[in-house]
Amino acid sequence: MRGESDFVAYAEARVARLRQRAYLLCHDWHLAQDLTQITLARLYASWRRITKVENIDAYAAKVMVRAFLDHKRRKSSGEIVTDSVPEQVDASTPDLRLTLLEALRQLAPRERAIVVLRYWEDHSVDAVAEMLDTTPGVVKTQSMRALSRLRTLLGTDMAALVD
Amino acid sequence: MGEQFRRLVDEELSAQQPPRLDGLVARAVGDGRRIRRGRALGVGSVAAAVVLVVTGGALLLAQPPPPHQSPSGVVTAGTDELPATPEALLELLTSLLPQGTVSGHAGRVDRDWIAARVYLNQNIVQISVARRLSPSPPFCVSAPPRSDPTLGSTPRPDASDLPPQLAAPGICDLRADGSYIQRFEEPDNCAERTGFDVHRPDGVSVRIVTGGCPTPGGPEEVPGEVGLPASTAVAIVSDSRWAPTMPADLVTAGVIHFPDLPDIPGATPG
Repeated sequence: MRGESDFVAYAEARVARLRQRAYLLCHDWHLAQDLTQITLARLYASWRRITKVENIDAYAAKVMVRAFLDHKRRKSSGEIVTDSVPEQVDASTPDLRLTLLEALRQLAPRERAIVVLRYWEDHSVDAVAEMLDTTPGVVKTQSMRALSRLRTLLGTDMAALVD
Repeated sequence: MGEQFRRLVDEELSAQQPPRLDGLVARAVGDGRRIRRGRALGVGSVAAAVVLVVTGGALLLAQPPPPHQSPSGVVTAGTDELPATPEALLELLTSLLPQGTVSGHAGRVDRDWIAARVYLNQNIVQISVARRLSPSPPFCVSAPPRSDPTLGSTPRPDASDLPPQLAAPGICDLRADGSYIQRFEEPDNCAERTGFDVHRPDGVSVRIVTGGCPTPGGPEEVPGEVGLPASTAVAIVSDSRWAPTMPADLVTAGVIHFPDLPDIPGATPG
């Protein structure tokens, strides 16, 4: 997979899934579209080198997550125009229980990224640590914290999902 | 934690209604080519920063006002325009300024506006581009001049070279292209002593500010010296290239020429 046509074939096959990951990270479809485009653009720019990488998908995940976290660090990133407002719900009230996506949205960006990479994409702790440029110990600690927060947000029934 | 979690997330994702993916891969290829070209010029990391800057905030300015956001209106790659950045504003601003000593480059991106600032001969010149929520221009009312030429030690810019309708601040002048231009003065605000607003029919407002604050670390004041003649300020603020999206060559050149641009402290869009 070295040429442009190979890249386009790869991108077309992955773009929907990439954008879903981006949405899980940022919870805004327009920003998700941007993150996906940025990720693919960077893959394209380094395609020859990347094709020597054993796992292109993991590399793409790393590029996207870092772009997302860079974005969140920018001052304006907290002012994204969205179609909906995150719900602040008392999880003890069953009728107002959060969906899983809404609960994910309430995690800190880095914790959200860890949950998405670890549990939605099934990457190993070591792989997530490499993607986030941190240590496996930090990933484990932040995973536990994120799961604990999810359990609280989701209430008793859905909390089993994150056990 | 595992399969059941993934399945429920996938179910909730499938219930979403994302925008269409039309052309996203093609736009990414276009962006990727630009990054490659930048690297070929030896500025790879800087060119990559163009993409980062694009996603960092300028994209918000580039989007049409909600709720009519274009699904892919964030990055206009594939055309010759990209979302404006402070670096691109600086690139254009410095090309339009008259000869002089230019220093103190800075920029800022906010949700609905973007700005760049330089010091020309130790006087602030700041340009900002904003997208109005309302199609009609704001602040377009007649008002008597309220400035006092004796206020402050920094002189007011000479307005004698302006048409009469712009000689007094607060009065809008409707121009042939449907835009309004208005002069303002803030005699008590050193950083934004005076300037001009252009409100265009496409919903974009452009402001140029000429101030009297001294360069940080420089002399206290430069009595008698004016940073920018009023007619030049009008010409600059009237340039049609000030927009939420700008020519790609300006965006790219801006990132190359102004890396690590510091933030404008306390900037407001005006």
